[in-house]
Amino acid sequence: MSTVSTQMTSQNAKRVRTRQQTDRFNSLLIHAVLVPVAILWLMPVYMMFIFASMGDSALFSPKILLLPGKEAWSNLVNLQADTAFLRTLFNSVVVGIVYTILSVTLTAMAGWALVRYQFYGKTVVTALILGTMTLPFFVVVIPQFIMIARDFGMANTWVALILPPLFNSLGVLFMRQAFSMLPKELFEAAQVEGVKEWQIFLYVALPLARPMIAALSIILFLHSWNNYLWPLLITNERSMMTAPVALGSLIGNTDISWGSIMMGASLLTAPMLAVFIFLQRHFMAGITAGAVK
Amino acid sequence: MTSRKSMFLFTLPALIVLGVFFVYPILLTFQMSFTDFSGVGEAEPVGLKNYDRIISRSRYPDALWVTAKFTVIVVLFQTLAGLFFAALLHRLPAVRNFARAALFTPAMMSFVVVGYVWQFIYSPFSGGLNALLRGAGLDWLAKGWLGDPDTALYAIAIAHIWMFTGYTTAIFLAGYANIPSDIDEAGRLDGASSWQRFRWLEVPLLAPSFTINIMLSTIGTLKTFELPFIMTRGGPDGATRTLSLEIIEQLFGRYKFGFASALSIVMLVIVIAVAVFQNWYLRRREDV
Repeated sequence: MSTVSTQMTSQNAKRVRTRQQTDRFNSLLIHAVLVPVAILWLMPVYMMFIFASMGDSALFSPKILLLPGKEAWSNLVNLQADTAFLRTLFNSVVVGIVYTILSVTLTAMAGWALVRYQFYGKTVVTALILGTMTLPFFVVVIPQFIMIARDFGMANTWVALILPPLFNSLGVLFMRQAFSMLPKELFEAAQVEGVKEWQIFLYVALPLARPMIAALSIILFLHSWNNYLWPLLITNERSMMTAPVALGSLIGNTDISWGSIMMGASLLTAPMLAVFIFLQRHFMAGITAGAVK
Repeated sequence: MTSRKSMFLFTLPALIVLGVFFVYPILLTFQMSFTDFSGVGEAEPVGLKNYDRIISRSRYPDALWVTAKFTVIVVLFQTLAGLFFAALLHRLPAVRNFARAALFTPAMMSFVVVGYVWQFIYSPFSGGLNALLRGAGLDWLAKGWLGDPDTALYAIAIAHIWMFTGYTTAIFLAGYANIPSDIDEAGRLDGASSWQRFRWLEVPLLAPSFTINIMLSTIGTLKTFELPFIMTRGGPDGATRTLSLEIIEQLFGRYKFGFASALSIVMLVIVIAVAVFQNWYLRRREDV
């Protein structure tokens, strides 16, 4: 009996050992494939950054160059001369910040109402909000354009850039989710104490939902920063464009060097990349939270 | 419970924006689609003429076909690539965060930036791809990838997939995190190989992530106009002219607001039909 069991144990041990060896081999193999793939994946981004410092002769030389050149400043000067790029970056920052603040406020309030109040047809309303996510922007953009540009005469203004995209269905659902995770008893207790509803919202609910608000803010800012179609349609003055529109306006312009374009692309990417690196946790929470539920 | 008045006040800002910038415009688009409105002057009602035109000219079904092809390619390969990376990264806690971040980086770049970068990679001169091919001695393969009607759509699809695979991977990884670890452990103890666990345990348990990924990428890709607009403007020879690009062209190239509205409504119907079908089909699979 004991011999049998010893034998079995040793057999087991052997099997475990071989499996560990295969596991280790597999893991080595996977790393050997994955790490180069990840690096290759980032290659276009890296090239963009170093091309921003090169002249076109270096950029298109048959040699593959992997180190920065010396033309960064002249690329920036050319870019600035052709697009007022620094001004448009400033527009993008202002529009992004104001948009984010207003949109968080709006969606938090709506999300709060969806959690706190019982009303007839609540499921339908929630489903409809979810449904608006499928809407192609095109079905609203033509009247929006007519309204803002013709009826209000507000083309080329910050208001026009910020206001129409304000409602964000993802944001409403996100905030609804955030508030419904908080303990209900807390709000009810406050209510019994006679605290006003807006005070409960402002001083109890919002501070507790701070991590979710941070995640949502990042997503909304990114959304605004990269938005292309609406700003493209509603601005045609160089000084009122957002940075992506200004950069996009160089398409087909043969006078401008690729180095200058890559400089613009880098300036547009670097801030979000920094946010991403430093706030990766919030970032990923924002990306996946909306999707998992 | 709480008063109706405060509820109303909480939803009011959202309702105003929703009403003014969503509901009202959709109704207006619908109405405009039956007119010949050109952006200025009076709109004359033309009945179903716009819709009739969409069906009867081959140009518009062609654009629909390009859109469908583009969407199928992107959704298929993006989902497979996302699943592949997630399955690997799930097994590799050590590099998971780095690789996930690396894969996700393109998704937070602007379409304009991605468009330019890939335009350079595909450029007919010594662009990135051609330089690599020549370096590998494959000179005969080098060409202007975006200038050839046979390759242009695929070239754009690759750029699009590159941009959003990290997103798909992140969602699959979140799905993986929801799989109870004892299930995986049980499979391991029963001697199931890595591949067997993936095929028979993980893939079925990831069904909700499949639903979300496929629906998000399908809806997103059907509507997208940015990369074709930036990289090819629909060319060469209409090979990359998607429905969305056609709308832009009719709108701001030819000022046919009425006709563009009809195209938008067609797009809306298609997107909703596809979303409803996918939702029904994929959710049914989740229960199996």
